[in-house]
Amino acid sequence: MRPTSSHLLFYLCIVFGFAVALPARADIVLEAKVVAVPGVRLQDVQLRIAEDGNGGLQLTLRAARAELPVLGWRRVGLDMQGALSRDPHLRWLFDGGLRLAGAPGGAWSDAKVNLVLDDAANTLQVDINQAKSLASAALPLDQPTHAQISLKGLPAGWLQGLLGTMWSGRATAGRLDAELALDVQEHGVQASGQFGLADLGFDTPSGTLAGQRLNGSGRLNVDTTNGPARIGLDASLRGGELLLGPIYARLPDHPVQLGLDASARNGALEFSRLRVGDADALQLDGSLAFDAKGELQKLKLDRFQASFPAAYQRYGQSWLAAMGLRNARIAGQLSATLDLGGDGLHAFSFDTDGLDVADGDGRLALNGLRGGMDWALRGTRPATALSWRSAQVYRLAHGAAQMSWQSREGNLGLQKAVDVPLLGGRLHVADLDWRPAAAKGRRLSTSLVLTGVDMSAFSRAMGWPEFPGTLGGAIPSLRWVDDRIELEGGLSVSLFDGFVDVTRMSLQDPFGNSPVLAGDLALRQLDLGAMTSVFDIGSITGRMDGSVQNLRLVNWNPVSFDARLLAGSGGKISQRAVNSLVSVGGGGIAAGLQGAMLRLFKTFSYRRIGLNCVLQGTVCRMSGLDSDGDGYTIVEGSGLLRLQVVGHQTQVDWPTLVRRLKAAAEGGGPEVH
Amino acid sequence: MRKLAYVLLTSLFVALVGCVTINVYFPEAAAQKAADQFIGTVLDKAKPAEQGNDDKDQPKPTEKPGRQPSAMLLDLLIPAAYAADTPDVRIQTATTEAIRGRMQQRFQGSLGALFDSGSVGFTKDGLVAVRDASKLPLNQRADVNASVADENRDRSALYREVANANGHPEWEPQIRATFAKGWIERARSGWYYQDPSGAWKQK
Repeated sequence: MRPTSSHLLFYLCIVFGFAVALPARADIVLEAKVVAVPGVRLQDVQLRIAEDGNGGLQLTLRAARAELPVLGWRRVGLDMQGALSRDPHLRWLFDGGLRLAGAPGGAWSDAKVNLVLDDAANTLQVDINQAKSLASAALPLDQPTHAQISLKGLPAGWLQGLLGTMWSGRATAGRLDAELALDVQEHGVQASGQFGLADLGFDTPSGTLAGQRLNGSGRLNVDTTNGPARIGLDASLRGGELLLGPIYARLPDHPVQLGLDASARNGALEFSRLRVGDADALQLDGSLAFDAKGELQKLKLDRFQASFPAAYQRYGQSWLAAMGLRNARIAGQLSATLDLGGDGLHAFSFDTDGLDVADGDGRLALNGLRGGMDWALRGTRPATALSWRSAQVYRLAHGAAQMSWQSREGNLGLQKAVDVPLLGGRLHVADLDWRPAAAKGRRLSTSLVLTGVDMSAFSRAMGWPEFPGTLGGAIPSLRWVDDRIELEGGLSVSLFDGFVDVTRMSLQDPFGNSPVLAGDLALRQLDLGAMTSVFDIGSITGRMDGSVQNLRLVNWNPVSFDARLLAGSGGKISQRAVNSLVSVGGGGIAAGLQGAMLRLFKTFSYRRIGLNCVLQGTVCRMSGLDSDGDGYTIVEGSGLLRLQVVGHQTQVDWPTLVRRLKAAAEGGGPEVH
Repeated sequence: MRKLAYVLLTSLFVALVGCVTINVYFPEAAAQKAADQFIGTVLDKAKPAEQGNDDKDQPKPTEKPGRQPSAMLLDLLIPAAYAADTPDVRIQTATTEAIRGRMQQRFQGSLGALFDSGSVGFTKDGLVAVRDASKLPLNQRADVNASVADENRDRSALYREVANANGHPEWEPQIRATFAKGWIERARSGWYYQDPSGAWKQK
């Protein structure tokens, strides 16, 4: 049977059926293969009206398959039976039971139903209750597609079918109260009204958008008639948890205002209006979109005001943790705007009048941040000022700095040079260009000049033995390319009366778990006497030159280099220094000729000391001043007692070597037996 | 004519010589073995790097008779590197050991259970990804995202460092591919992984 144009046929059937049945007072059975009206389709329908033996009527309506596409009901078995009567006002009353089989969420599997059909008032009133839930609908008989619906304590899962018509998500728990005006049309429904939620949970197939134990109340508009389903919501939520992609929010016990206009199409979800108001933590206005996989497609924040640490604890924690920033300590206020598209960042700005930020691992800290930045991919933005009271990168404390920024055509630049105090010296940032939109390629370039940094303070900060000296240098170009920072030019450290020049530096993933620092070192005329005094391993006099090429530190530990050290101008090496070297080797000098010989002299003269080490993986390939098949010379002595140190092992296990060097440097002077 | 032939021949010879490049081939079998060992220690909760056993397999440096005292001095100074001879692909450095430690911890902690439940799987490019978080309680999903991000940062660093430790940073993609295969091969049954098309499959 084709769907007829009459909206009323279904109801007329029932009414007509009653009319036929009444005078006869006998069993009436109506059967139909299909009964269909727009929005409802019943298959294998059987309607039976019989006398119940007490002067009343018994009505039974069965349908093997009921289909209500707007509610998402497919192949639902319907079984309704009960007593039919007529009251003094000539209204038809039906009181009985309703069993649905296979309805989404197991809705009304065993419910009581109460119908009142008032011809004179032109209304049909339906009340269905099961356990603690009550659903009532009132609809005019001449326009049964318009209904006033009232829900009390309805399990949210029962509306799964309705939800499923709009969105791939599903309700997992919770109960719903609502007073809605419903209008069923050929291609969907329109509903609007008040609602209340208790312990609501919802989830999506991928699990990236979800909610749990949400309580609240508000106003709702749903429209699925034209194209994608549109939902408008203004609610006040109390407690519960929300997961929106990378953002996990633990809502507070006080009300949080949530306003949104959402539309869903093929699993993708777009919030054209999003408003959150959490009085003491976060206020935002913006829009947001997720694709069908639950990935963030667009995020636009026209207004964002956050008070830390509440905003971090409630909304930001897991998002920042996924970016590698755990257990951050943030305090202060921040207002910001953001425009993030599927293709990257379009604009952002922020402004604060006092913010302290520190990451949990102590790699980065900013104190007393004031001012802001304002960047856009296109056009010129007004200049902004930004300052901090102090900053800390790893253990390097920087002093106060004041900057002025301006964005031009996607380039955020410093308007004038900045001086940052650093360990007794200064870091001078001459110019800086930052391209926040560049996810790959060249993101930032700047030039730096470092002057007069106290080397002993620097070594203290790095946890090294205290090296006296100063650190300075110029980096005419620093570029942040992909995830690597490349430094052109070099730093020069005046150290031990000589110089260490650092060139070709690059730094990768500086705040991650495995930061990589690479560079070349050149050592010029270092005073070995001053150097050995720092390490307390005996003394060697003379000057040392050398180089460490292709140095690569991962997590600040060397993993590869090509080191060549040479003290070529001669000098003295103390017995203790020789002894220290031996104890570094894992033992003392054994008894015998060598021990006896060494103990006789306090110092030895040398002509040259040379040691080369090429570290690759965990193995250091050693060589010395010269080598033959049997070994390589490390110390070439001079004078009467000519000390000659020859190495034989060319492959050395680096971790073991480092362990022993450390023990020797920390363990004070070795004992001579 | 003969002159021309000479010229041609000579230039051909020069061109040929100019074309000679030295290819260093990626030692796939060795890489696979090394990756397998690394993966084994992470997944099977074994002790990190059974170095003691390795040392037994390595030839000890032979003592040379009649050495000068000075030579013995330096022998004491510098411990011999036993690992130097084998294998072709080295995987143990301080960095990779640190990464291994963190990975082990993660697998023994939350990540192993997440693999068991099918929430997380191995991707085709040697990383891990959230496959289906819907079985997890909500507050854990946020943690899972963070754990997966941490694990992937470590994995990328591992592949980079293994390539670098072997003196061939350009091997990184091959190392990654070798590891990707290894993780999937050693995955326990019931765990999920991505096939080459990116679809999730259960082992």
